[in-house]
Amino acid sequence: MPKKINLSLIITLVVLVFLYLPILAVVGLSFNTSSNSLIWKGFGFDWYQNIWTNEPIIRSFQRTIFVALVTTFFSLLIGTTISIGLNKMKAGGFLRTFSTAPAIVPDLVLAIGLLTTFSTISLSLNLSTVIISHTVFCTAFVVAIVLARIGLMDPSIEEASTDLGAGPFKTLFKVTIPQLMPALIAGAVLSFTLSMDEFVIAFFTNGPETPTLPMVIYSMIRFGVTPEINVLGTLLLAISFVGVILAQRIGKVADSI
Amino acid sequence: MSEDLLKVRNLTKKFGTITALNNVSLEIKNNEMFALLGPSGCGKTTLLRIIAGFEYPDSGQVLINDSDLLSIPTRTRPVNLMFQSYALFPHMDIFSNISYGLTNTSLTKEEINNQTNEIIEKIGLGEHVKKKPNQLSGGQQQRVALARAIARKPKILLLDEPLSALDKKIRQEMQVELKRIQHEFGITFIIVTHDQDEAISLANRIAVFDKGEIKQISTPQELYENPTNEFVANFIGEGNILKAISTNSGFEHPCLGKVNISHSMGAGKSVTVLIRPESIVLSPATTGAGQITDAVFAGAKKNITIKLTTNEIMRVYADKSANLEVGSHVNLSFNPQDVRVF
Repeated sequence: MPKKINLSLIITLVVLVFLYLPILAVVGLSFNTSSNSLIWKGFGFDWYQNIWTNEPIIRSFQRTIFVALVTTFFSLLIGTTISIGLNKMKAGGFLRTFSTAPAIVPDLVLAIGLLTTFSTISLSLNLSTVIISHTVFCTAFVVAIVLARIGLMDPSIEEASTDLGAGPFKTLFKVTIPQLMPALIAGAVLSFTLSMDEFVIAFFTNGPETPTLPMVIYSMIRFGVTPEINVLGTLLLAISFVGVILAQRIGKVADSI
Repeated sequence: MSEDLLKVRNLTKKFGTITALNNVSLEIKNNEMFALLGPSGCGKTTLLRIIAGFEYPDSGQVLINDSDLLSIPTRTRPVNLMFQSYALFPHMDIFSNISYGLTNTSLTKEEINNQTNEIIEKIGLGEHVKKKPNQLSGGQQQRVALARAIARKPKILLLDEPLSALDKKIRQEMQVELKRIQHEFGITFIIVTHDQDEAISLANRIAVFDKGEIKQISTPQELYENPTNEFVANFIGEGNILKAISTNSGFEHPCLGKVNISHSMGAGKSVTVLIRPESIVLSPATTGAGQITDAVFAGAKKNITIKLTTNEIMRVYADKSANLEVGSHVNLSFNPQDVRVF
């Protein structure tokens, strides 16, 4: 009897290779000791050490992390407030759609709009305009995630808190927010990773003095893919991965309570 | 001070074009188990939520010990609610759930701990204090909800469909438990339910609601024996409702003939007659008032279904040994005292 060929397994493997080969190439080549990233010379951490001494890169890396952290904070704050408000108002589809629209508006449109707005009110472009811009679209993602969770919450639970004598603030911090925790964690991780590797909007709304990491990579890449770029790509990937895994861990704990 | 703990006066509440409560008045006595009974959408839950403080009436008064209840903010009312969904705080353990209401008072930490432990012991939750609500069974969760709601020692405990989510065996346990706790803590219970069995087995008195109005307020026995209108007659217990014409001394029905009862509604009017299944005695006849269409053995009795010659269907409880076959003709007899006419 001829051995049966498992076609679906083959297709799955092909698709997986297609999806992950580029990522593996970046990670693998980041350990290349050669100064030409396309010629394999040997395995080593040479370029990782090299990066630490490259001040423009390290500075832009710090800026990117700073922007991502501040963006995450404000997106969570604003997004959660909007979600709780929409839920309390029993707002219909119109307001809900509007609150999540910046997530699906093309980045380019958002970037042009933000730049126009900033120049109209003569705001000088620097990291704070990047943070404002990133907060606009990250907030939309937070709203989408938190609204989904809040809809699953039993509305009687907040009433029970009031019935048992708690004021609105105690109800918010002791009852509502703890129940939204898994959504807040997911929203935070998403905001952070979205902001960290965001290029188009940052490119439009940033000043020339304070480039973020994606902007620095873009300017470097005009001279070809250097080994530094592979290293930076690997580092960004690692940060995203750690964030997602942490979120899943904490989310699981938060979900079980 | 009167013996009425809670007085509801002329309460009206509309949601848009729907009238949830229409000029409702009732009094609830101290230490009573009072049930608000009616089909869904009859306004009973609205009344409960007005008393709890989650809705506000369009007009009317609610008094507790003769002082205005509606002007007291929700969070300080001497009233607590046990939610139908239990609404336990899923992220807190059982102890924190039960002590939550006490943490919103001026009690010291030690007093809170002592009082919480006392309730936990009385309700029998000792072994579960460190668990989260989702680690408990439905019956245990309900006990936690009950303990949490009575922890602040309210004057009135409102219970929204307290037994609806439990299976039959645990329901019976909880019925006994609710009565014990009501007695032990001396709290007035107001139970909202659509289930007549739940109301009858728990309550001292029942207010039957329909379409935002109270149809009758009475003890369970009175509601069963002397309903004052067709809705109550239909809603409480099993009954046969027949259409008849009133006479000067009672009523006349094509199959039952002329029946004399103690009071008359005046001659020639169309009236509704209620006869309970257990009040009827069947006797075989060659051409009777009706024909047996179904006979089901049900333990101590037989449930007989009869189709009258007027095409009305009647349910009768017969002795299990009675020789009543499907298809045979029967005559019906009953004591006129057991019949209610509206």
